[in-house]
Amino acid sequence: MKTSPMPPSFIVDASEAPRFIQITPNLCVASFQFMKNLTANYMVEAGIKKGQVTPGKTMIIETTSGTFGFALALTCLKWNLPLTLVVQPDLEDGLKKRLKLLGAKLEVALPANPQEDLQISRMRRLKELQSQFPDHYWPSQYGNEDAQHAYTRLGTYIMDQVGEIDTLVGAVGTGGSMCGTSKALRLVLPRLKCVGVDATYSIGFGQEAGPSLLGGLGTAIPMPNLDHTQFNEVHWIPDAVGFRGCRELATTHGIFAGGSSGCAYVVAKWEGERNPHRKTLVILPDEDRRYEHTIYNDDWLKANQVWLDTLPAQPEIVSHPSRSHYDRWSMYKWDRRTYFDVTGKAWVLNDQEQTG
Amino acid sequence: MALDIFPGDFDSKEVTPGSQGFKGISFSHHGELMQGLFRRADRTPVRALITLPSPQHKTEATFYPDRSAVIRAPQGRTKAARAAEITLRTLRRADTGGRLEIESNIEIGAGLGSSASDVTATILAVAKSANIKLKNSEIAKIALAAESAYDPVVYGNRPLLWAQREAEIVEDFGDQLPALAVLGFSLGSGVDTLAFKMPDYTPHEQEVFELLRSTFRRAIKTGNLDLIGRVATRSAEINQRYLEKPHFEELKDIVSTCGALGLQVSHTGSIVGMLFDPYERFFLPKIQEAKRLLLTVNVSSTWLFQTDMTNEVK
Repeated sequence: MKTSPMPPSFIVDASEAPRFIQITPNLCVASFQFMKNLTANYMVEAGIKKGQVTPGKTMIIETTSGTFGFALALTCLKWNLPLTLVVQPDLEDGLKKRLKLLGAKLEVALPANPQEDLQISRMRRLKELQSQFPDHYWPSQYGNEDAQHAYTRLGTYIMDQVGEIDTLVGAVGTGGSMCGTSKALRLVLPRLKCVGVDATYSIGFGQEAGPSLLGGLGTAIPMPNLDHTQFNEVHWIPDAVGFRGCRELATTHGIFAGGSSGCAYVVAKWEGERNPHRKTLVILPDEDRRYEHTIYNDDWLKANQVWLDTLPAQPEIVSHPSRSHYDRWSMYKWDRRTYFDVTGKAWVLNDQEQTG
Repeated sequence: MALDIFPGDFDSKEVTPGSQGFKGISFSHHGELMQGLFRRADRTPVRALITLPSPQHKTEATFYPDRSAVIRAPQGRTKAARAAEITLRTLRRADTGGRLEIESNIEIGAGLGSSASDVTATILAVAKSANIKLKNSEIAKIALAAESAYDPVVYGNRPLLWAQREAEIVEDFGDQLPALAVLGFSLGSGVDTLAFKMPDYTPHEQEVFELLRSTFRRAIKTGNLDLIGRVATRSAEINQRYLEKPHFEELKDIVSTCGALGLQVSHTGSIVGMLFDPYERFFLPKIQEAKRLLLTVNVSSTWLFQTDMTNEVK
């Protein structure tokens, strides 16, 4: 076993745990400021323990659309690691400035042609950098199992501060947080019910890919860390319902969270109300001032035609993901089956991800 | 090294020589509920365990002091002899010697803490001969000096996360372990605890240990026996990668078929235990069912005890 000297505590350590708030008698929220801090902090620590990362030396390379990059920058500050992030040209200005202040080197990946998907261009630039710096470490949050294992820690925080829960609700993007947390908790709570919340137009549970304004959940490409057999039920939330959920979370509980939190809250509220004797916990991945101009701005919502006056009372329960809706909230009893068992199609990984 | 374990002063009363014997009794343990690598409060890593106390297994040591300055102990009880010497030196009785008798019902090398019990009983007997009452932490330090890794049998059924190579309480979970019934048996042979290569736990396993620790803390606080059983089973599962117990999957099936709380092992020995709630309605039928099913993996010799049956060690 490698025992590395413990550095002094950093913001990434202090902010990796969520705050737990019991918002109704049977619904508790785990509210993160930045959930990706937990992922990044654990992934780099695991890399060090496995001898893949040398503090003060190994170059960390990752492709990111934003938040995971920021969490990595905080983590690299802690271990004094050089960091190169492959970002897309439209990276938000404020975030760009903060990343630079933290010492991250930003590589803007330009699409080879106007039609190329930005995720693909970023991956191509990442490969180039990898061959340029042979002694680097790529955390790879989509494909690396460590991104799930990080959430064993969330399980620990839950057992510490909340205790036994009956139902876990959370948004699914890469799959890391929900699959990791549910696997960890089921080690000691084998009867836990796990409810996944996806965005409409996400391929995660069998819808067709398409445009979505909600960030932080849903996916357009297959994610290796999404283990479908963890989920008892899945929900698809359209943009407008998710934004209404954010609004209600803010006005009734004072939590100004991002889009994935709003979606998860909509489902958890319904889940808690119809199962008053089950203790439900919902993961809220982030909150930030940056949503002021979008989610909490009526004009922006109306201009984007995602304004909704009230939350729908319940989802429509559908008999198969292919019958799920794109304009309404729907739910399907997934019953912990594989993607193939439910859809008849393989959960194929595209080449770009697989080779990582 | 042991001379200065406690630089404090002990009363310098004369040891009464003669034929009078002084007794010390120590119960033992039945392997562990959990063993692994944990984080201290300052985030440094530490190997630690939670023992499963067993009042059924015990050692009685009798010490007959004299002025020989030499310890005479039964064959093969060198750790106990060393413990007696260190105790006497620690108590500034270096000129005292004596004869040590040891009676024990604990199988040696099975992971049942035979040496920890021998050593603890010996220290208690020798301290009694000097008319001194040692604290548990002092006994543990002397024991560690005598055998370089010590299971905290002196603490009885107080649930502790215990660093066995430092004799250090990493976490004190509370007053006492709730009553558990244990159906114990032995599988194959044990290993020499000190020669056993220390597991190189993966980063993920280290996180799971912290989850199990939080779960155990919760279980003690709320008296949830199911959680204790699951913690034990998960720790045993991780240990399979480092010291494999035969028939492990079958044993887990038996646990769920007969409705036991979980499976507990000696992480460096051959001992296995199935955990039950002794105060539930179907306790006896469950035990019968477990015994019947154990025959299918060729286990016919079992023993049954309860962790809360007497804890008066001294």
